[in-house]
Amino acid sequence: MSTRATFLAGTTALVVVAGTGAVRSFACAADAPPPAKMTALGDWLRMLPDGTVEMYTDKVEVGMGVPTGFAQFVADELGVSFDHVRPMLGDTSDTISAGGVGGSFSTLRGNFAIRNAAAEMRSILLAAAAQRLGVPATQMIVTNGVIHVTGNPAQTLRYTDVLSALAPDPRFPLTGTGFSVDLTVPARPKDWMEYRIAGSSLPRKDAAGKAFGRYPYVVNVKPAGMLHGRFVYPPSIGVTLASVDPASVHGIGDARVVQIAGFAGVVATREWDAIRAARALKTTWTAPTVTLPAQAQLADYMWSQPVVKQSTVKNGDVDATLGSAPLEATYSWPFQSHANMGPGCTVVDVRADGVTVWSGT
Amino acid sequence: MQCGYCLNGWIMTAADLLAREKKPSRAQIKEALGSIVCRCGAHVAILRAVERAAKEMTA
Repeated sequence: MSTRATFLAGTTALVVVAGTGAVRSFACAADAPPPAKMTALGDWLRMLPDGTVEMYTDKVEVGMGVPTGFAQFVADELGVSFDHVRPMLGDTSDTISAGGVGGSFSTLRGNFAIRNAAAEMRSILLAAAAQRLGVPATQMIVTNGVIHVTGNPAQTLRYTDVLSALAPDPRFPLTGTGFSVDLTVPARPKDWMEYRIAGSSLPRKDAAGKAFGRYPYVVNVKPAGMLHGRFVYPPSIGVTLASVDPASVHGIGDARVVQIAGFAGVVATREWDAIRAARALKTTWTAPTVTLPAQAQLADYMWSQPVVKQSTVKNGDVDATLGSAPLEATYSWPFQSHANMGPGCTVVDVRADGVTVWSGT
Repeated sequence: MQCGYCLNGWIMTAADLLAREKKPSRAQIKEALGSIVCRCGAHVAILRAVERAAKEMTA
């Protein structure tokens, strides 16, 4: 898979698509990759000729509403309608890596860069409008993508009217890593007190598509010539694949066995054939070298493990406050594991010019 | 709702139930939706949604 750097170096970067929609406003020379830690505004936001604002983020939607929240910020900062902001999520060749999602931090800590980008885009577009109208940008307010001049209701201009006047895609320093990634721009985001769309309760942008079966999941990705695969799981932890009997899947469509060292799986043109073949495949495994505690004794087992103490908040003097008053309680927390949402599925497309991977989070 | 992959399954199944049974009991709703698997834990909210839908559709 191409890295972001090679992707940028080999193509053009764009901030605002003007005119026909196919014209890219800024070309980044192939032999001069952008300086490290600099990024184009268009890596975050792009305005299309119809006024749609594409919002690029490495965040994905798995129930937290992050893209919806970000879109609310962008709508407020730019002065466009919430419906005109289109989240473009999670494509690693098209978005800045900013820690992905985790720990419910995305909206809390990830909003700075997108708000800065929106503030800067607004500033650039208003500067172009100021030149066109001969009125200072400070005298302009924007509602639903329409620029109004205060005190002169007759004087209006749309953002889309000034797209073509935009200078080449500006680049700004990118600071921080992970959730702390930020974009340093001259413009300042609005005071949160000015927000009207952010802070209001709006339908999540992904909800309707999910309700009506239009939202694309990884299982909907079907490159030409794709084969379906199924793992054959070991019967327990601590075992190694000893033998595979390919003859055991003969006659199940065009299913065939894939064996790589200790891994066994099957592939077939039809998914159902892959499922049936994985069930039918005869394998033998070595005796387990490790065993797991019995489910019924899991809680006792966990209590018997070494305790790692972790203090997240230390406020006041607990011992002094509680004094000698007896205070005792036992809490048991079910054993939990992280697992991806949706069907466990990954699609891999291997081509001569690169590999594309679609996967769950 | 988190990933939402199961969502249209809940809706279709609930619509089928409500087409047959205008005022289903909670037990009937659980029975009808029992085969749908969701790992995000939205079940209780979904049961409430079906009850609300039944109420609003017969109002």
